[in-house]
Amino acid sequence: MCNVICVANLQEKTGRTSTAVNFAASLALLEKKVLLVDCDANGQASFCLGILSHAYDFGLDDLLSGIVGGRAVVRQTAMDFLDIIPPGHSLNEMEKKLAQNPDKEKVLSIVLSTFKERYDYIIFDTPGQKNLMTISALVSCDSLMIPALLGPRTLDGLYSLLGFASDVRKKIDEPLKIAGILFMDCNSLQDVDNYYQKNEHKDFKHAICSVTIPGKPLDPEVDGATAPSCLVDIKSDYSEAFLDLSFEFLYRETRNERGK
Amino acid sequence: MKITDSDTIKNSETELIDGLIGELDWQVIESILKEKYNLKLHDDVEYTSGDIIVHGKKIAYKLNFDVRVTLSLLVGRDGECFDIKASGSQGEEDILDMTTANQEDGRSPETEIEVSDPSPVPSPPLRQTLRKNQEVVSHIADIINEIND
Repeated sequence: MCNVICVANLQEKTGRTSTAVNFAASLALLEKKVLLVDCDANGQASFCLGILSHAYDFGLDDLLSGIVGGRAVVRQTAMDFLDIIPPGHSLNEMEKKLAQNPDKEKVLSIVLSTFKERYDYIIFDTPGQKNLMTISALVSCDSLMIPALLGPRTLDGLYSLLGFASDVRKKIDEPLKIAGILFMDCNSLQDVDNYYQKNEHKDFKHAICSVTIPGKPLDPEVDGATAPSCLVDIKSDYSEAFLDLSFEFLYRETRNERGK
Repeated sequence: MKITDSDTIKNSETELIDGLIGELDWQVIESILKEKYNLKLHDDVEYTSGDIIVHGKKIAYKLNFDVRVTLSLLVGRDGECFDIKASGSQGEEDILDMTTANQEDGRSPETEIEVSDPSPVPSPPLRQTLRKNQEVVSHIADIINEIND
């Protein structure tokens, strides 16, 4: 059964794209069939997987408009088990057109429904705004993964996103799971505990991923990364952390399945 | 004839006052309190209410806080109050000379030293931040539990 995961945070530079790309790549390394959907018009996730904007004809915008079917927009990556749907060349304009549609938030879910048979995981990389793409991804997903950086605005950011996600899901009356709050630029959960010295985070500690990602999120515009970390250096702490995250995720899924 | 919603106006005023409170310079406030009333702020400062008023024909913001101060009372055996000191007076130590009182009943004089609480007290803006963090965390936990149900 396909598991659809939305990677989101309404704050900028928190590692959404790094998380979406590297988590997808790590699952693919474990031979899970993964489709990464780049819902951000800037196309950074696509760039990170070597899909440059001039190298494809059709993207998510064309899929949403109905111009093309599913297969035409899917691009293979350098990894056998990882495909991507790039955003297209006019995703922002498509959002404006879709705004007239009374069921605009559900269009993404509808067009992606046929992909669920072919993939084990569909992962959304979302823009850091409360726009139609983020809403659509939140409507379409089964669970929400939240990358976060420790800082004075972390809690406000979590509250803002969770409140937003909750409101979105209430409108469609469908449950949503929290895949986890993933702390970036942390060597271990001890860093999180040390930051919140008064244990302010105790009430939502259960939602924090046991894996943390060391090092700052990669910025494709700065770092120029055009491959996931596991293809650049699989032995790096960064790569290993994402692999650990994938293992944790798979283990949790298996446990949930057995519990049913 | 109403041209807008009164709740909108109230909410905007509340936001404005919250913003003001967040930007108060508590070091200056403490120094004024010490200078004017010989009082030193200690521990919690609780915001109670705020309002926009007219003061001297100008718009002003009245912000009310409940504060705690440490008082030191010097009471004799006969119940008479010798002295009242607030924690801001005479610095951190207050050496009381009981020579006169103790000489009356023949005992050697004792020295009493008052030392303010040595535990670190977060500055008022940080206290407010901690309180706000606790509220935010509580909301986060509620939403997560609601979502995961």
